[in-house]
Amino acid sequence: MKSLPASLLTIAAAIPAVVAATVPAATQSAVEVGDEVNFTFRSAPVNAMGIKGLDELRGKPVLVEFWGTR
Amino acid sequence: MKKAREFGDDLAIIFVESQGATQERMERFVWDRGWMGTTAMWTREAPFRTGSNGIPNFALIGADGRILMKGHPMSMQSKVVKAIEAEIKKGKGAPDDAPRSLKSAYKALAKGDYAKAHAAARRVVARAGDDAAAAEAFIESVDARFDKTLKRVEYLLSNGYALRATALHDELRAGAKGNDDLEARAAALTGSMNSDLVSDEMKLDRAFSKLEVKLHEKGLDEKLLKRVRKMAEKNEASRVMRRARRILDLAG
Repeated sequence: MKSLPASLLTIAAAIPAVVAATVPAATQSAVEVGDEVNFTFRSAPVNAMGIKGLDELRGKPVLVEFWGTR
Repeated sequence: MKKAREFGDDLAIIFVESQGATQERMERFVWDRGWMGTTAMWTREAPFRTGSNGIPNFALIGADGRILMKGHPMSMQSKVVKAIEAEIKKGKGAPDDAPRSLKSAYKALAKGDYAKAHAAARRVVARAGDDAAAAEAFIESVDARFDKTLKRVEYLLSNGYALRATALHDELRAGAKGNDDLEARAAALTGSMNSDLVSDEMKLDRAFSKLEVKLHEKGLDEKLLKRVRKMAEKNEASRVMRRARRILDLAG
């Protein structure tokens, strides 16, 4: 995977906001530390064994990594 | 991937392909890198934006569903690992803002003991004190989690994961013991779980899973694919073979 310069970590905790599942990610504003996130995938991720939403993973940490195949 | 292997089921990892690859290309990429066979998941749907344009970038969601940190994974590696360890610990207890009276209920839930969690929260409701509303909300969340897990059992069963479905159903039944309502909900699936069809699927799942492990280790190796093809032809109608057919499709 490509390694590009990292953006600075936003430390300030923002006003909590729930990211609506129905709004496409591209039109959402970026999440900030402290925001509550919720999302239901249209298609279950590969290897998700039926898990379709972030809410189903509550109770454990979830690492979401954005990567590329090129 | 190291984190997926290190933390196992305690940590959920979702990789979001962000360069517009097709589903096939993404899946093939994952197979070719030897990344299948871990608990990590892959998707092309971004659940949110982090605000970073470079890749890789990441966000860590805490056990309570809130963003804990975000940035570049390599530059923050040790901080991320520490945060993950702390969240795993937190996830096994009660959230920081939970009333003290509900701590034992949360602990029971983290252990998968739905009945005990229910009973502990019911006692708080019965006392009709300040925490009664929180206890009622907690009971609702326990029920919702139980039902979602039951749905996962059904998903696993109908998608060829009979062994996982059975193990998860057994866990649910054990966790429901002592609560008539939860026991009845889990029992509704028991009939189909004990059918001859599921028993046959379990045998085939066992055989195919062994082959799958080898595929995870060696990638889409031609010799192994031949065995997959043979098994798929012989057991065409089986749900387990849906998994096999996906692998064969990817191999082309």
